[in-house]
Amino acid sequence: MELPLLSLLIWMPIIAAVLILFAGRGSGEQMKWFTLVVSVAELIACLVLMVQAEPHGKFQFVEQHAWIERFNINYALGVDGISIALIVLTVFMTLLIVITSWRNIKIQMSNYLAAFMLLEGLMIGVFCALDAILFYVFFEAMLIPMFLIIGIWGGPRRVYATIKFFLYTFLGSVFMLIALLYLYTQSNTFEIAQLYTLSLPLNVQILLFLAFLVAFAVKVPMWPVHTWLPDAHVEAPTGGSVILAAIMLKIGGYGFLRFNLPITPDASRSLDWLLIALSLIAIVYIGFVALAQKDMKKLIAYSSIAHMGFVTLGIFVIYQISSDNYDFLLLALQGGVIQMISHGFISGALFLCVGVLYDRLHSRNIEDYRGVVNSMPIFAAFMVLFAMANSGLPGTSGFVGEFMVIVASFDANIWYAICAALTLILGAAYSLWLVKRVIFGETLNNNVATLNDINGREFFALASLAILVLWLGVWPAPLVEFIQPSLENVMHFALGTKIP
Amino acid sequence: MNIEAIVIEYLSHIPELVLLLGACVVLLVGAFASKNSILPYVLSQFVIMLAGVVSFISGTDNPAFYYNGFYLIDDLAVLTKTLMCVLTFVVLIYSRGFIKAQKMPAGEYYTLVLFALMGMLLIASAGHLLMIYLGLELLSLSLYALVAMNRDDSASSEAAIKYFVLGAIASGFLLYGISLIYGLTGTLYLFELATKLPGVTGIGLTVAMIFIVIGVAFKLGAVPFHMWLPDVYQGAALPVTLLVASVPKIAGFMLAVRLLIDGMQYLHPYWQDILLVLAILSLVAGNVIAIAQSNLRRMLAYSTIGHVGYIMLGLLVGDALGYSAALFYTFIYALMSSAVFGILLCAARMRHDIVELNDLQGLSKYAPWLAFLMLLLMFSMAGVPLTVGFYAKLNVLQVVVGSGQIMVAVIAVISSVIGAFYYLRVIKLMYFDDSEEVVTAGMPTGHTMVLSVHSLLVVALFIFPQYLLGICKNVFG
Repeated sequence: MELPLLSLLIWMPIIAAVLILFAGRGSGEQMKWFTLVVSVAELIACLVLMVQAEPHGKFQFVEQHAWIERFNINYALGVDGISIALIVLTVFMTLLIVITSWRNIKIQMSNYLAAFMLLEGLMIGVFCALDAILFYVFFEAMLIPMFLIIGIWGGPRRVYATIKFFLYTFLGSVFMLIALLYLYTQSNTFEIAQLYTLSLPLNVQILLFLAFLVAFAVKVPMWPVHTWLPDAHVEAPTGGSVILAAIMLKIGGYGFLRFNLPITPDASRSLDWLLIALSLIAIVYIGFVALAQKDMKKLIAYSSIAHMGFVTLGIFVIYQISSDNYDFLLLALQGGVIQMISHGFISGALFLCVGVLYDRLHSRNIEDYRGVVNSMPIFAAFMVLFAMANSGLPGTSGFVGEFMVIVASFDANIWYAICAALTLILGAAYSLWLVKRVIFGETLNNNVATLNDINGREFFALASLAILVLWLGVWPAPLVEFIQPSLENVMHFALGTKIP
Repeated sequence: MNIEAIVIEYLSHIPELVLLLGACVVLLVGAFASKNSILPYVLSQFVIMLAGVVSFISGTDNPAFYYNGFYLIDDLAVLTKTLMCVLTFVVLIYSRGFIKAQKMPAGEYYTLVLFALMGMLLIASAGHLLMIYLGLELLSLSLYALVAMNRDDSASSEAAIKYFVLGAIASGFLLYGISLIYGLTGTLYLFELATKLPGVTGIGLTVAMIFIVIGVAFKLGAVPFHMWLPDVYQGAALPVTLLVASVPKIAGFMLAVRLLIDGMQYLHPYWQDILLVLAILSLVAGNVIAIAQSNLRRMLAYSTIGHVGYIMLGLLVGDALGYSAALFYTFIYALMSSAVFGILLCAARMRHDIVELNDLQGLSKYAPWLAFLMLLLMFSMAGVPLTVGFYAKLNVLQVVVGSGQIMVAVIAVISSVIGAFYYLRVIKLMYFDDSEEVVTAGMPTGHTMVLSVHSLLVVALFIFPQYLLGICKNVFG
């Protein structure tokens, strides 16, 4: 019998979380090592997955067991290139969080680790699920650990932020549940792959599309349902912010690729203007909003929304590209997915940077810092690099995805491209201005002058992210090729028609 | 009629007979035993266990009718009766410590609980409208007395008076509806009603049906017949609230099944509309009003009303899938609700009492395990996955969507998102707020162990729902 690799990836951290929850006491020194071991084991399992993956767009490593026969719900797992890339991102970022929060969590350390382990398992589950209800279960259950992470370890307004976060996402996802139940009444199955071939009239598709849209748009988040994100980011502990920005937002984009495009292709085609408009508003308007922020975390949160706008633009612009331009179609989707991965690294890294400063001075206000470079030269180097990557500097991963999306949207409509390209300037403006105000200049005061530079753990985390950001920026070909067959598969369904 | 048949008929209702005898014995023992005697408790538990076991093994392959159809045993009756006994058993385990500590009259409490349970079993097995009424009155009268048990407490007396007056009116409605049915059809047997109702026309039948539905809605606590519920939850002693909030919900469901489905399935298109209005009102009003409550038990009462809305949604669809969804929801609700009050009872024994929501502050500090169980139950009540509350909602929503009423499903999910807010607030109070309160008392061991198993069931049933879902489906064939 083959090793059920995906189940292992999902359940290992969840079981670890339960063990930690029951065994953890006090500062939990042993629990930290235990968590670290589990995280490393996850990473190894994940690399095995990546190496064994075959280069075709079909689902692989499939596991299928009957779960609830009453509804024909199966415990069905499987991955394609897109999911594997996102799983690797998840596992890697969780490992970095375990490493960087080693000494920084003052209360209930073992519970904190348990929450992150649980979250890791559930997020991997989201990327693996091939059954719609299983997907929904993981998708919703993810809220529980995140709700607690923000609520227990968060900042002063954590209660407001975490309840807002929970209710927003919960409200979004219940509509998806009704859409799934409707699909079940039509097809008698919850298997996602079978829903791809189910023919549906256009008006039904539009309602289904909107239901999925609400769920995933809140997650991405798209303007105008983004308001939970800045609150959640600002109040969450560093680890929570990193996970939110690096992975949870990607689940929205992943959902569009898994559900909206293949299940409701005709509705996607007829509502593409809406999605493109929302994406462009996010890119341009939220970019300006980011410029006005005084809080570092808020600034990065808004910049995340703007960057996720590229993802949704890349996904939905394909409907405006003429279908004989196959390369451009592919380029748009590839750009969107690359942007997801790259933004995961960059925003995660930036939140880690803010966390480093916050741990030392307990302030996230930009005006409380100036001239950090004088006391923390190594940290300053990293922060400048990530800010550059955030503004889309060629040679960093931030450039690749955005460039691909912009090039593809040229083919659709030159104004889209112009709008989207504008943010390269805006992105540079707010990122570099942030760096200018925080890192450079005269040292502000004694507090800043006595800052200690980053320690070994922080260096390890930031350095590994820096390597990945540069590697993807210089040589993105392996990743592009890795996800290409899966995207071709998605595109096959997305460009078809299902009207009976 | 030969001797053998008579014996079989008597054997059929052993659970009720056992309870009747047991209640009498406990009453006597309670009157003569010393105040701290453990005897009434042990005897009651033994009797309940016996009744549960006999109910469980009394199942037959086919529905069996006794006394010309006055009394019946089908799979549904066996299942619900067994679960009622199990749940009452658990309720008494939780109640015992509190009753001892607060010096409540133990003999009377256990006796009344036994009588209430007997009434509920009769409803579950009733094949005749008068039998239903009889069981209902036995249950209600026991509950009125239980609610009034703290007679020095004005809130308790107020709740009991309200409950009694409104309950009597509802019983009146029900009885009047039953008498109209008798006048129109000439029978009170449920199986005869099913065949005779199609021959009846006229306004009388509509009035009778409306009266009966009102009676059922009152007992379930659906809006706008819910007025008694918050007062009873708040005013009654905590063990009584625990009882009211758990087992009688199953009885209320059985009341609806026997009257509306077994008796008046023919009128389904008519009562469906009434139930739909009641269900939507309950869902919206229950969940919205619960937000405004500062008293924990009133909040839970309004949350109950919201859950009743879901149960009615399952019922009104009118096919076997819908009924089984409603049954599943009722079980899960009774399970969660009794666990929540079990936790409150446990916490109340550690500090003075838990009345206001704010009394939960700091629970995670002095009783982390209790707080964790409460967290699971709150997520389960909100219907978030990793807990069985999710399936309960999924099941009902699926049949509602399957019957084509998408807008109703949308209203239901929106109201449960509203509901999520106050469940989250409980978690917030326990986990996110600090409190200076110092509580040193330890948790009572036995109580905590049962409570742990009970509460963790919401997770266990999430991972392995197949069995319970299957049973709920099979009893409706």
